[in-house]
Amino acid sequence: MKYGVVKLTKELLRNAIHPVTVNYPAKKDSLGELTEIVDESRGKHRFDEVKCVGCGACAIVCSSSAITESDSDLERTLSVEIGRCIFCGRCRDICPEKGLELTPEFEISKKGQNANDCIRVEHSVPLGPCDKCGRPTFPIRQIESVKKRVSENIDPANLVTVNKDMEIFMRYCPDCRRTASYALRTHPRKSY
Amino acid sequence: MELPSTISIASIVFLPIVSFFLGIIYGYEIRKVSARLQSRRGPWLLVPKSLRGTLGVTRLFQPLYDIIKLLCKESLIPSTSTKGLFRSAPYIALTCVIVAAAFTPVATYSYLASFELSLVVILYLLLGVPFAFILGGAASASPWGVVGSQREAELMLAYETPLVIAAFSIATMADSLSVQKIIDVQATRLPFLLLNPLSAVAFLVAIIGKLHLKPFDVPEAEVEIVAGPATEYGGRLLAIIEIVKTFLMAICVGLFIALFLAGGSVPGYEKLFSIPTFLLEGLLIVLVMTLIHTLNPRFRIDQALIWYVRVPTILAISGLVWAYAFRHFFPAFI
Amino acid sequence: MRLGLREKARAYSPWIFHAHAGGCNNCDIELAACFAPRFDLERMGIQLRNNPRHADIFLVTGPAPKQIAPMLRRVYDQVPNPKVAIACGSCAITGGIYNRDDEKPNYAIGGPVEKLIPIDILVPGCPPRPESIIQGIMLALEKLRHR
Repeated sequence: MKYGVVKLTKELLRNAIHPVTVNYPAKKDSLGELTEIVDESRGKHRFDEVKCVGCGACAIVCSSSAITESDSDLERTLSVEIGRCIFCGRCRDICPEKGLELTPEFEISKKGQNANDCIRVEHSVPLGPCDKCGRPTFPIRQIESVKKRVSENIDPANLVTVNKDMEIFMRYCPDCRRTASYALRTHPRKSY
Repeated sequence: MELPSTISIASIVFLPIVSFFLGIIYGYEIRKVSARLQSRRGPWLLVPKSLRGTLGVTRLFQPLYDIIKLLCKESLIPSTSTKGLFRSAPYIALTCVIVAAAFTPVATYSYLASFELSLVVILYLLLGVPFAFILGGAASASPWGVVGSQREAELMLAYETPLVIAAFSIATMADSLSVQKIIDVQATRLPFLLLNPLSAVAFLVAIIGKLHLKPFDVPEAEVEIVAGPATEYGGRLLAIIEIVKTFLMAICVGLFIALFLAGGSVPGYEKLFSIPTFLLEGLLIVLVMTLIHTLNPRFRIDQALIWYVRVPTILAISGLVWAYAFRHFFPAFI
Repeated sequence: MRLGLREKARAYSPWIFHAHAGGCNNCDIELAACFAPRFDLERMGIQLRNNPRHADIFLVTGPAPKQIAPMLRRVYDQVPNPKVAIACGSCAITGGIYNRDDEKPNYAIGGPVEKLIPIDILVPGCPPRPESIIQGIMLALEKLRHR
């Protein structure tokens, strides 16, 4: 006990002179940071305005059904309910266009009475109309991105035929596609 | 008997207020020093500029903000408690402690301290505080309160013995029971801290038990019994309990300085110099108590009782024997 | 002068009671980290008490299972006015991952906390970072001033 007194005093003095507290919530006015957050921290979502095509894969794979998609006549809206999110990152991992990222922003508390007051992150993409019947079908950007991906990955022998088919059918809604496939003789089991 | 002057009567009211603010500063010092020893910052002495709008400029009076906040909350009375005793127990403690604060000298000055038996009055009134807590804890119909009251009663038996014996050994050395006379004797000779260190140590340890600092905060053990006797109190009554604790801190530290450190007076200087010295000595004593408070775990009640019988009581009795021997062998010194 | 002091004292010294209403304990650990040396809430005069009768802020973590739902209401009633309730974590706000489907609610959850007690501040996250909890508590201080 006696020989520990010197060591103890040194440690106490070191604790007293160099506390380890971070500065949050005070704003540091020099170039220091408020608090150390690594870039990989998962916080509030951010949809990339250009890259997100509105496919809705994030809504399907979300662990706690926090992401919902809803269609109106003109646009499809993807909405992340932060109050339900568990910040697992599955939506970010499965997005084919890398259009969704979880930023390190952590100041997401709000005054509110119930879950509807909690913040939501929303993103809308415009929907294209069906060429035949005029109803809203798929987001325009999703069509472009699927076309590009198919053209890049397909066997070059079938490229011309597939491109021709995609020109016609990508802009049909699923009902019109079904009715038109017989007339245009492009049933899937027919060989080209 | 001549009537006291108006200044004296005004000082009777003024001194408890000064003691209250001193107690608040000591309470802040405990929180700040124990936080710094744990490598964190305590309540801010100067709030950073960006937060001054919401959090004020300084947190030096943090215990005072606690008390004011508690005064403005409603107090809930349990329906199965003894309501009269439950409600009045904190006020009994408050009365005892305010009167005792009027008797304790602050920076060597107190009109009532020159009363011939002021030491006895102070020690007697300070007994009212644990007494009221025991009653209040038992009156709240809650098992936590009852257990806390039992522990408070046992601890009171433990720490009152060295406290009173050490105080009376000082009274023996100064040949008077009046606190003002004890201060005057020390001001012309040496402080009793140097002449009778055994009693000083016994008194300091007894004070640590009285103020419920670790290792003796058994009655208010937070993890075991929720808050001891203060469990059922909330709102205004809890504010009264916090005020009592603040006063108790100031009175105990002031009594230590008066009995052992010449009340803060510096020999050879005027009485006005005793104010910064009193403050400095008070802060130093609280620093020592905070170091002990931060570095120790909590004793069990039987361990505390046995330790108090073993070490401080023996020290206090030795101090009393030393005081008598001192008076016998050096009669001209006092 | 007295009125200003009352509101100021309420904002300068809030005491928190933490009510654990089921849940995986992650939010409780992050709350305990708030009082550790790294994010020191004692700087703002905030203390963590274990007695609801001493508290101003009532912080709930976890989805409230059916067994604890009446107790939560009972403990909330024992906090003296004025008080503020904070729902901390996704489970307290919406049931979180335990409440995936709105059509088929979970058999064990007695509702998100908003069905049991009136809430004032929502702190989402799973678990919320200690900095998020601190931000939520600062919002609660503003609300406490005007209660």
